[in-house]
Amino acid sequence: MSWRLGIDIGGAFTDFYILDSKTGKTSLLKIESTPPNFEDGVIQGIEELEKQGFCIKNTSQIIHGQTVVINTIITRSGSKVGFITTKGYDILDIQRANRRDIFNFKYQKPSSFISGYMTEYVRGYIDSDGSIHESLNEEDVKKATESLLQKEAEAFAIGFINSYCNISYELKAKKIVEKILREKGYKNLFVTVSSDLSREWREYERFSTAVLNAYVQPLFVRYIGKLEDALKEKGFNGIFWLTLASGGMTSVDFAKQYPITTIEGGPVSGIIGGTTLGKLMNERDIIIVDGGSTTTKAGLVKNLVPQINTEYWIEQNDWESGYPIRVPAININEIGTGGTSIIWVDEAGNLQVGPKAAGSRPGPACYNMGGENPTLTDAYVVTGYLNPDYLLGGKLKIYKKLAEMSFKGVAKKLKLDIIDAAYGAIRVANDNSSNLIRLISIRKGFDPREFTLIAHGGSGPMIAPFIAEELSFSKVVVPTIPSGVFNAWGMIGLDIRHELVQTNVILIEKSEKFLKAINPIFRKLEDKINNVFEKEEIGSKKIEIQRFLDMQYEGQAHTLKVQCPDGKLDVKKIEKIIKTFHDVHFREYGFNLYNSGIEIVNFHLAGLHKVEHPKIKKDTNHNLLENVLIGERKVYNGHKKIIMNVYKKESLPTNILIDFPCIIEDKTSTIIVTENFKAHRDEYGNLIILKK
Amino acid sequence: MEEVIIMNKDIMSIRIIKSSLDNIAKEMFWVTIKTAKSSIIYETYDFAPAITDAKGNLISIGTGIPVFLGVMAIVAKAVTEDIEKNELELNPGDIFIINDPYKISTHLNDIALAMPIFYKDKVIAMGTIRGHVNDVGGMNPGSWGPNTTEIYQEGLIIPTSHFYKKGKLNKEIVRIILHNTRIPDYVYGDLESFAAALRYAYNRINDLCDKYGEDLVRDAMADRINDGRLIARNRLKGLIKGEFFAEEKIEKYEGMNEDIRITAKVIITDEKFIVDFTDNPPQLKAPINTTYAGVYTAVATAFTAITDPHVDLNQGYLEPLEVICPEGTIFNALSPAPVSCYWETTFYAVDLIWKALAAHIPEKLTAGHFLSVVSETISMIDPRDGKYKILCEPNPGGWGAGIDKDGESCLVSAADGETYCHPVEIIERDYPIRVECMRFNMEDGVGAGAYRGGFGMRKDYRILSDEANLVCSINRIKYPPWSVSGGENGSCNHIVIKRGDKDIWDGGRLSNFELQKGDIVSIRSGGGAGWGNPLERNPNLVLKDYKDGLISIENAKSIYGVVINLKKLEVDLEKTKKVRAEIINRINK
Repeated sequence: MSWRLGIDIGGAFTDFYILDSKTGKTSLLKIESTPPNFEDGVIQGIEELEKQGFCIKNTSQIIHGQTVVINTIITRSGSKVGFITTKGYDILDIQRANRRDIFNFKYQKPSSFISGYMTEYVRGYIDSDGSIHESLNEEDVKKATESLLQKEAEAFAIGFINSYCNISYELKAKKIVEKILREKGYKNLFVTVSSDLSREWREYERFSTAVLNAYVQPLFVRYIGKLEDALKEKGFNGIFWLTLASGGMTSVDFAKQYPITTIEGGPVSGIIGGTTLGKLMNERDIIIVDGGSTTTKAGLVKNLVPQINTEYWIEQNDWESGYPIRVPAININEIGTGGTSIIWVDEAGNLQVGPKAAGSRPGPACYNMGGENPTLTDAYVVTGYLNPDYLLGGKLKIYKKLAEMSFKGVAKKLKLDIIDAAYGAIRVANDNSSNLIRLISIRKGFDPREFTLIAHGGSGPMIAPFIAEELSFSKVVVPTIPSGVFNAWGMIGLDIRHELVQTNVILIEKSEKFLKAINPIFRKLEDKINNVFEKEEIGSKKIEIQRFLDMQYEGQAHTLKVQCPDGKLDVKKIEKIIKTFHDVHFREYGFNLYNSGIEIVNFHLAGLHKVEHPKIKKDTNHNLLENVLIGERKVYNGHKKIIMNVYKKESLPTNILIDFPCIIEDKTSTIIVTENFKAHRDEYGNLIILKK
Repeated sequence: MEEVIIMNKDIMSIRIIKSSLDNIAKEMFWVTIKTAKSSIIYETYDFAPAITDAKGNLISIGTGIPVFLGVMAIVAKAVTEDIEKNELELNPGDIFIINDPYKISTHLNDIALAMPIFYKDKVIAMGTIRGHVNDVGGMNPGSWGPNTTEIYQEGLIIPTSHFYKKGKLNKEIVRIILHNTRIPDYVYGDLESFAAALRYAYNRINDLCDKYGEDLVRDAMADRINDGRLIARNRLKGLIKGEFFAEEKIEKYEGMNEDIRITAKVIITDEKFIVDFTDNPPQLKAPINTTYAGVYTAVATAFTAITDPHVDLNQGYLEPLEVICPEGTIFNALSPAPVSCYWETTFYAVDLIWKALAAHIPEKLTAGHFLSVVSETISMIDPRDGKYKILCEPNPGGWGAGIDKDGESCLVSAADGETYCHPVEIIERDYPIRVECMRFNMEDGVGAGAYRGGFGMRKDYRILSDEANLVCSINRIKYPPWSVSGGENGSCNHIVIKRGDKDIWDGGRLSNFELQKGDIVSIRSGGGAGWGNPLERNPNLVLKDYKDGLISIENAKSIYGVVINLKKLEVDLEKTKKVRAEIINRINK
């Protein structure tokens, strides 16, 4: 039972990564996904892997990242949800009332997932200090349930005002709903309670989270059920884990109850993969960029800790508000520029790249699969950076002529030669990507020059040196793990993780009274987290607890997350917390208010059960550089054509410096070492690119 | 402005510099948010940074609310003029400060900083920024209120002066400013955050010049303006041509005999977008006058909304604008007219243009909305900790229907933008208030139509403090949002104070009203206006409103002529046809 398998299912591809923790042997596979019956693809993949010597019966763990949750929301294909809420409040319709598209006088708010028809109001009110103002009218709850069932509700969400500070009415209502469902013979009790998912104030954000959880739950439970059955049939009897938005993993049972916590579990694994790699390489501050086919994603990791918060919004962009989901999530930002982004000229004559993309069908013009629009990949082919004959290790034939032809229209509009237009597109795309990095670093108060850039994904390694040049990164790492399966590799290194965030506003004092107030809060949260782990059969001794406080100066409306020391808090530790808060505040906002009181707003606890992180086998070789040269290529650098040597990444000699511009190919990506950089392959097979 | 023709240059570099210039304004926005001290900056986004060329032409802007668009196109030019006219010294590292509303601004709270950006020894660009600081002195805490009659009551007026001289803080002027505000720490902190954004822009533009050469940077600026000009021309081509007129009434203020009639004439030609405000009353001795900058920003905002809300904004795009507005009127007030509550009038100017054009540009415009910011200020002592607290907030309301959609319910007004309203749970925790409801304002209703207006909001605050005080200044309390094509008008904004079972006050403007513990302050914003004949509303939409609890069975029949079969929860099509015919007959008689 020494195998661990990561499965990352995306809309287009399903990736597998296997690690034998005994021997360190690894294996990987990428196949096309099989929507809507994704489990078919998983079984297909497992069968193929078994041919390569993998044994599902000997697999102790499967870690699974999926896109079912996010797709159900985006395609509006979830269940009919009945919503029970406090009488007198139309929170899901009012939302926060902001108008994000400020010059648009025909703006449309995000329409609620719950119509007025599917909303029922009940009497009962808890005040902001948790005390009872009006007791819960249980008859109202019963009537609401009956009425919603009559209207064919498939799942229920319950959200009451102030439930963040007193959960009792929401729980009472849940029991009533479940009782009625049981009496009526329902097998699955799909009832979501807002305070179960989030204990933070701001009712709209909490209710929205509950509603979206209910919306995806029935479909998700069916999907996971089918997958479990299929795996069992194949002989799997290890533990099945699901990836979380927070960059951890959790049991199937937890995920079935709170499916919304697994949203974005796939992409987030890439950030964890980067962190695992950073640990191995002793790089503590890293920015991870994932260059995909239609988009580029990036995340930042400071001191080996990814940036986690509960401020995730789905479907939010420059012009639309989207919907808040208050579950712990790693911050990832994304732009619509990727390898198959279409290149076009706007009405003012400016060259643009994306956000429209050719995707895998019809794909870039150079694939000869019917794509006629020039894409970023075509631009790299035309300028000579990409292999003009084949890609993907020979699997994909490239037609350079078609790439050139596709640029005719754009070049004519710009009054440029085809090759200049193509090089221009590369510059614009890299400018877009650099702005993405500015967004996650400079905007948050981090200086990119102090970070190492880890680049993966089909186009990540290709664009990384250009971004590095623009933003003065001094080090770029292209991981030895093949680009296409980096997320699946990251999954193997996920810890089992649970988090609780609870709003409880307290002014900080260096007094016994204060210590007496807050120590029990942490203790209670710890007990709660231990209970969750217990359900996954993990004892409290095996759990590492990390504590955070969301803090603000008294009267402010925005909080900052501060790490909180372990153990019982005393005056000394409080002083340390205060100092850290001042420091973080200065970094984020550039000033301090030393005379102001400081408030704790949220108590945030993360429980981790650490798994053994994947190691990378040393893989040294001592070839001579001149012996592994596979060719040279004429490349256009914007001024002239230069000759660049081409190497295969896997056969590069270990720790031999290449201090001239070159192109390095591997099976899934192409790395470009530009004039101002030098490169070498380290003993693990990672390519390290350094500023000259 | 003359057109610069860019010949045979490195067009790809220019393309990249252009997008950098756009991004720099956005990055300045972040820098300010990160460093500002007041929540009106970092939460409400009541500020805007911009880049202009050396002559003051707007190159790019970053903003979270619409009101600063036009203003930013004026600031740099006014400062440049002042520097020349008054022979102020000009050196690298200088940052100028100004808040004179008759020159560049809207009200005294809006302080602008401008920094000429030198490359080597020549000015290549200007960084400007303007934001709302919470107090600049005057008779009202916060420097605005419904009771001023001349500008001198509204705070300190700062003419163009050095804030920084050759990179060094000009302590004399700073001391004068800080001696004239109730909250010197906050004002100084916010001003420094503005200066930080300007220095950021200074460095970024110098980096661009180092990398690409100053000529290319200059060309890129000119080219951005060319792009804006070209796109504006294209958008104008697609716009309806002709003359359009609208009028509205603003409810009179204390001491006035009659309501205030305001008008606008919009003239759209192939090259120009002209708004003529000639026929309007002289400036008032009430703080709702707006200066030229305010009315120019109104026209710029309306133009952008009508033509292309997502366009890259710059001087070129605003070039077709022409504002005709005689001096000394409510829309172009001169010293010493008070202007501290200018925003309501500025957005009445937007509303006039909107009303004149709505029926003609239905793809971009809806029927009339609740318009006012509907802000109330409640100050109170919190019995839980004895602290003095002030709650001041904008409130959402109903928007008008469009030709193809119902109006939005509970959305902030056009004067606000990416503005988040307070959650119930935060209000209750932070203030001695219980929010007894926050829901659609069903009582005042919406304008019916083939598409109906959106619902306003009703929010009831139970006051739990022994010492509390209410100030409010809202409009559209008598004249509701206007409808289009046979729809019905929307409903009015108002605030009701309840004591016991009685409504003891119902209105829109109050200064210093003493509240008692247990009083309810009920904020009720208006519903949007309808579009098209209610009898032509798709009966299924009426059915949906009924199911969603937004209309009664009786009103469905009397307003829309729709009969609903309650057993089947379906529209009774035959009866509906009959009832609709009857109503039409009755009207025709």
